[in-house]
Amino acid sequence: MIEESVKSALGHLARLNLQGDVYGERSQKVTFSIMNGEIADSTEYEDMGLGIRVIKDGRIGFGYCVPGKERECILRAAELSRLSGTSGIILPEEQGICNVKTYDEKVRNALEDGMGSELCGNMIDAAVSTHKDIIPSHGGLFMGSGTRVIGNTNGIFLSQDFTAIAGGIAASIPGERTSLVASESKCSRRMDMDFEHLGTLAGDKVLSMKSKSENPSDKLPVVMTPHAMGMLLWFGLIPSFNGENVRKGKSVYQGRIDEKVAGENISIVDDPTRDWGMGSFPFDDEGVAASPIPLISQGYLRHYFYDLKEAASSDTISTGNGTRGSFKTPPQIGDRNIIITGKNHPVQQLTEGKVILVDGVMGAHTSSPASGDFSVVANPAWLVEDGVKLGRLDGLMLSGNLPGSLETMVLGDDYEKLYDTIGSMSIRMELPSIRLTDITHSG
Amino acid sequence: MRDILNRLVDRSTADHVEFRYHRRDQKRIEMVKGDSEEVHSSTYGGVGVRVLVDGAWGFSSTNRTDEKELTDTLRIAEGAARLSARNKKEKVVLEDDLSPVRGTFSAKVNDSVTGYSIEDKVKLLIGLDREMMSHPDIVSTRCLWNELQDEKVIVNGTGTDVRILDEKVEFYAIAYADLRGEKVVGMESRGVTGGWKDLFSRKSPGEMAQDAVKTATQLLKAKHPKGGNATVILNPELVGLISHEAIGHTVEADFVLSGSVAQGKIGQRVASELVTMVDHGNASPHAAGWTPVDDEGTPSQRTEVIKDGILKEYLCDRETASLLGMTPKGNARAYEYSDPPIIRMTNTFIEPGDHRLEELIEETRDGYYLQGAMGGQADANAEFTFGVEKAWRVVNGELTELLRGVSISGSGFEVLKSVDAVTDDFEFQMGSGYCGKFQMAKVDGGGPHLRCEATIGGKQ
Repeated sequence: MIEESVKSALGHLARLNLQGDVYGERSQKVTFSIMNGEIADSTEYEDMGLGIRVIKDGRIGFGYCVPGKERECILRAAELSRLSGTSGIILPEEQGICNVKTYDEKVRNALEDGMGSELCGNMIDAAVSTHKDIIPSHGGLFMGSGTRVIGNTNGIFLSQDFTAIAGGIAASIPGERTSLVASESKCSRRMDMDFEHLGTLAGDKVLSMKSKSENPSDKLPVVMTPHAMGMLLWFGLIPSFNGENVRKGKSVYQGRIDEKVAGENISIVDDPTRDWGMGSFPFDDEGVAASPIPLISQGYLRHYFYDLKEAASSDTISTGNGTRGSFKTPPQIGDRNIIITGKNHPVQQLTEGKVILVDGVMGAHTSSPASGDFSVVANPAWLVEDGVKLGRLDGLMLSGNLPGSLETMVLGDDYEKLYDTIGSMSIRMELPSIRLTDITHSG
Repeated sequence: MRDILNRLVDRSTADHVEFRYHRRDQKRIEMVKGDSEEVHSSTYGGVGVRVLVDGAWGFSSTNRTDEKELTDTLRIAEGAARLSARNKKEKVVLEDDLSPVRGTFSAKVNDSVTGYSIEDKVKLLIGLDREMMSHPDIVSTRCLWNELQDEKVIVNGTGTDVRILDEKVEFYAIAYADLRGEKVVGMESRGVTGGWKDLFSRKSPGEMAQDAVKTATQLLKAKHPKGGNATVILNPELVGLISHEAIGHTVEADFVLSGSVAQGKIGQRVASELVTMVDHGNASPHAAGWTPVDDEGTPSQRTEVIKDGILKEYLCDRETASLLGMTPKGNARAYEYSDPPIIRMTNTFIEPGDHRLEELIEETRDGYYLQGAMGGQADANAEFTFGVEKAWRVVNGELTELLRGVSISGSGFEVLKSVDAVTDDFEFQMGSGYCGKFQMAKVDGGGPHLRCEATIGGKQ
């Protein structure tokens, strides 16, 4: 049905002699939320709608609507376009689209069969069974499937089904002054997640926080888990590859294409063509064919990323990085599926000697993409010696410079897929644990 | 719509049922460097249905509002509840003594923004943006306008049948200056429940734009602070942020039951005796978190979370109030029709004291006067980290130099225990922001100025 609505909207655009694109999304979602060791509630719903962008005299107007209201939405968007500045945006034409796996029938079947309650229950039971004092304090399970459709007045009409499943659980041990809390989460597009294992990992992690170590006064290497590193990179480094930030001078990488900016074995790629990636799709939310964008290759800065609008402003072409939080938001530049590669070491090697292990950071949003400087609170964090957790560290502040850290970082081999949402933007990455040697720690 | 919803309530076999029709008109305008970046206007709505079956909640929603579709949505919600009930050990029980609420509740609006055309608003923002860009030190600017007109109808199994007409509006003026490749930011923003005159009752749009430029250019000359523990004077925005982010979330009953640091602390001293912290959806008609009746149909009441330094109450919905033996006071809120109600703050603030701000600064030998928040994050243990827009060094009772790139961190309750002075002024200053706990919510926060101890993050 969503395909028909997109076609209907494109028909209205043609009859009104307007240029534009139509993004349609239909999704069915089931969620179970965990509170205080129980499934607190369940939600199930289907959402469907269209985001319509009208281009009139080079000016863009945007509106969104439910199916059946396409014409009114187009007329309203056309009216609003008068108030926009001229954009120079050029809509894509038909291109070769690669195959990318994004849909697993097993997730769809699990969703239809109502398996979420049982899987969520298994996750809770596994966390509880690790120790009598542990309470699975919060978390949840999500299963979804749907269809994305993008069409435009240049003849593009693309459609792709997708599935996603995610689970997360926070295990806590209540204390007199503070509670110990550790969480684990995983996500996938396939029915390949072990929820029991997730619960066990969360339980084991919080148990490892029971003993406390003194915050070290000597400077030690810092090993960031994929989750901790993901937050830091997403706020403090990835925005520096955003073409708009580059043009506006808000990027540390402005004017540095082909410069050496990282260790020679380090590469960062935004690859939406990778099968089953959380941000993978064969086309972006503006209908541009997806392709891997090497941002840093073997230590050298190679590309920034662009959507159609910023490409027009920067006099270049879109890299397929037009993203939307939902049909309700107009496209904006966003990363799709960030992967860091390089010489990978067994993760155990990263914690050889005495190191600080960090599994989460607070305050990453205060990082500066213009300089790459960051100052965050590490939580949870442990003092580790030769892979053994000696005790948790409280109130540890970390500061440093992310672009500088790219020169010396050491990659583990324990890649994890990360997915999170911040406002209308999504964090979608595949990262290993990473050892950093030039971080200042205090507190 | 109300007739259909009431018919469906009567037909439902669930132990409890709630229907919430929500229609939203939104207009958003964004200018960057004098050119319009985004102008968008939308109307959307739908119905959220929540049911309690076999002691478990189920929720579903639809953006199609005919009776057949709503009947189907009710059945899906009932099915979801039965799925939850399979693994539910502690069954949800609601107290039966909630009185039904009926009537229409309208926001107090002085000079509705709907009386101004979108062209008027675009023209205003273009003018302000270009005026800010005309300053030689300013390299980029951004002006943002966002308005929401909401109509809600809440009908539930207790006989509640209310209609809420709400209007909220936000405005931002942001100026960026360049300091050898590093951007410094001056930001002025305000968000209110109400209209044009309410939004600009403190400063005109032109004054807000000028002040944003002034801050950015002042920060160009500022140095980074030296990190460490320090005496700090927090302005009402930072007081609101600590109240909301560091303390408020830990006293939300869902987090309390999940083991937050506030669990089991009712009746204990958690702050200086100078501190009384309140959440109240009806505290002020123009506070951005104005919520006369929540999405479970509970009228808003004042919740004294901390009274003279003692923890008194948690913020509850109907379910957690039953569990904890407390009274629900209007904190079950949903952002859109497709969101289930969850426990949220509304307007969260600290009550004023009896110091004057001038006295507070004069009495401070060595410390910082912190103004403006640049985002914040906190955890279930009340540990927080906030960015600060401007930090004035205070030496021997005088503001000496301005510092930039400042962050503060600490434990929210420890910081409140260290409060040794509270001023007699009061402002809500967080109305332009949103809370993002699982779903968005329009909230406000504020208070007087506080003097306390916290950790300053710095690069010196």
